[in-house]
Amino acid sequence: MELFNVKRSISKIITYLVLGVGGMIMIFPFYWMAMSSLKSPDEIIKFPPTLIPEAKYYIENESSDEDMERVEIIQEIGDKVKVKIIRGLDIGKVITLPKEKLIKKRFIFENYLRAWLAAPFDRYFLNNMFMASSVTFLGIITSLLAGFAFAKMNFPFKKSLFMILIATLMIPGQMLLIPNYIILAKMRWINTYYALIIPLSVQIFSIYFLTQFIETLPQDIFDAAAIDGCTPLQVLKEIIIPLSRTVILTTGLIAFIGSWNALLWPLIVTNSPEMRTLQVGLAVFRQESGTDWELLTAAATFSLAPLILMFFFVQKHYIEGIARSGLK
Amino acid sequence: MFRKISLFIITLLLFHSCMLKGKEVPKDKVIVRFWHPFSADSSLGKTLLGLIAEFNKKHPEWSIKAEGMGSYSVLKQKLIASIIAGNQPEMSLAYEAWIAKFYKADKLVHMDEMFSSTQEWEHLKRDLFKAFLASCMIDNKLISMPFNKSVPVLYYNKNIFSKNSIKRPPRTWEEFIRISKQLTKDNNNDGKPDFWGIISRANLTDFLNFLKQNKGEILDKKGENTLFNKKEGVQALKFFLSWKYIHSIADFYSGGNPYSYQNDFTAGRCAMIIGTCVSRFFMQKKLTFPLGTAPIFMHKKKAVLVYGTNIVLFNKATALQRKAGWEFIKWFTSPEITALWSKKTSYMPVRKSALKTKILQDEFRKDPELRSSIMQLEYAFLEPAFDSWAFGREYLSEAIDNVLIDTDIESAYDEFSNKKITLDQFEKIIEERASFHLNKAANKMKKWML
Repeated sequence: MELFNVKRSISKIITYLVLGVGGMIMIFPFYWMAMSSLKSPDEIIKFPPTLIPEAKYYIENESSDEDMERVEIIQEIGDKVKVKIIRGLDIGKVITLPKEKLIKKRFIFENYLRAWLAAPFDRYFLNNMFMASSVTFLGIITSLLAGFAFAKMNFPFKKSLFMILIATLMIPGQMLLIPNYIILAKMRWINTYYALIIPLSVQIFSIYFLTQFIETLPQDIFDAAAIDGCTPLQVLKEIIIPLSRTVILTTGLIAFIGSWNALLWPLIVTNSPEMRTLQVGLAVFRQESGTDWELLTAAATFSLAPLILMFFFVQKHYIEGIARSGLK
Repeated sequence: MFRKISLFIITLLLFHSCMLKGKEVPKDKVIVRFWHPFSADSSLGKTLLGLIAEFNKKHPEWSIKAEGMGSYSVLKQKLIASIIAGNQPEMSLAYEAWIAKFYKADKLVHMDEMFSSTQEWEHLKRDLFKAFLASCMIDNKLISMPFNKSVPVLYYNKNIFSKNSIKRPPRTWEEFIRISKQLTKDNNNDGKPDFWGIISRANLTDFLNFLKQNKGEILDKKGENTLFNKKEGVQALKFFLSWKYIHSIADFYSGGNPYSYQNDFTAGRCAMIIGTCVSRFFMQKKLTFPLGTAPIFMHKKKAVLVYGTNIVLFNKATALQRKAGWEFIKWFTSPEITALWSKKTSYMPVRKSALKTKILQDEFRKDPELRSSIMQLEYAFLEPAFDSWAFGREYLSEAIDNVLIDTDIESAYDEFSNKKITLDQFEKIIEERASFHLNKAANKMKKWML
């Protein structure tokens, strides 16, 4: 018995160790992104890289747009200090100043402010939230209707239509960009919310996911509902939706994340800054001949924050939905 | 009942808000949509928008409406799609190869017809840098105007040069090898350099520069045959490879982030890089050493590739829109404005007379090295403007990438390092493999030449 307990404990320790290491590996890219967002522009490209930002000295910048200039202390002279400017427009200049003007910083939180102000991120957030919410809402409606029809209704060419629908998943999105753009241009939807929302509102994967789940529901329930005189819409509303809550949440989460992170499609169908979305806004920091990594990581961090918060609330249902959809 | 009504109202609001578009401009203005590749909120984008706002203020009857596409590839896709859909903008930036296609499809305004007099056109011809003028002409017609043009420059770490008593940056291939050897260091004595003379990326544009400097050509005059795979091209590629394999003065990047080598330079891992003149703009705030700028090193012939786009007017524009667009183009490429654009962005000024403006004279006084970089325009060349090149250049770019990871060269390098083969034998293998990859690219390009 004791041996069994010891074996069980060792097994638990190993399991938690492996899961812990796996978890650390998964979290590390987010940690790296967050730490990079708090580094100075020269530290972020430093080799070997630093896991935690290093403390450095700065002085207020009076001559340029940058907030601060980085300095290196050469000599301390009483209550004054002689420093050399090592980054900025006055690079190489040696100046003497009072000690209290010297600022020691490890984490550059100003990167978040500069990133936020670099582009109209408030407008981008609004557009993103509106687009993602609308796509999710409409996506759930279309997926439920199509899923129910494919799973439980009979109509001519049902199987062939379903196969064709699934086959479209194999077409790379980039191939459809120009044809879809032309269609939207002819409909005069370019640079409108129609173009951002409607094409993304039908998600083939969600239709497939819901179809598979609804097929697992016992036929007896539908037969009983039919006997009681329920119309198909009533069956959908009173039976399918309550039973599919977790799966609906899962497809909703997938649709939300997909549309939240969409870059190429919003970039193609919008022209004016007022219509642009968050991911397009992040492209501001990747410019023609270089990238502002510290600002990009700061913007990426605050862009991800709503998604991470949302996931914390729905993760239980998400995992349940994934698990349930495979059960017969 | 209340829930149903609420749901109905929300759905109605949703569809109504879909009708919302971007900010509208007053109807009495002549609006000219101008597509460009910069993000509206990027530093370059903001500089451009600032200048456009200045023009719009001076001409209240017109409105140049700039729409940033975020990247050149998206701009290309959208331009092609919009032309097919019939809703292309009135004005756009475009590369010469794209312009050749639009010209063939008869979509462009011939700008030489927009001049008010022949003298104006003759004056412009004399004032534009020769390479820029050549980039704008098709069939002896002015089809576009130069807009954001750049040239390669050699950036160097002044501190490192001064510490090693090197008075000036290299001017020839031989000087470059000699100086790089002096600067490459193995500080931790592990047998591998940890500070390089130069760090470079697998780079089509660098190869084209070396090809031309070696008196080679890219394509023949009609664009029907490749010439980059001849002896001069093989020698140019061999020179590039020799940095790593023979002289051990360089580290190379292949694929991935195209500006990683810039980050290595600003992080102090190498003494020199070849970058575009615009890179200075992005590197400034990351530098912890004084930055030197020089023309790139040359060989048998002086040659540098001009990058960047021109501006075109689409003939879908109305007469009023064409006039507004043309006035904007003339204003933007005027000596004062092109000098200001150059100062703010590090792009090249498009006119010779811009060099005499106070704006650029002040810049040259602050940094005399800037002038020598700009003077490279005297011997600048362009990429071919043929369709075959527009589609086929990717094969040559792929060949440059592949030659840097060629396993035959790597194996021969190991044998050479272990003294199993001589230098001559190793050089022969490099030439054979370089020739192989260039010929492969040439064969793939043939289908675009038929």
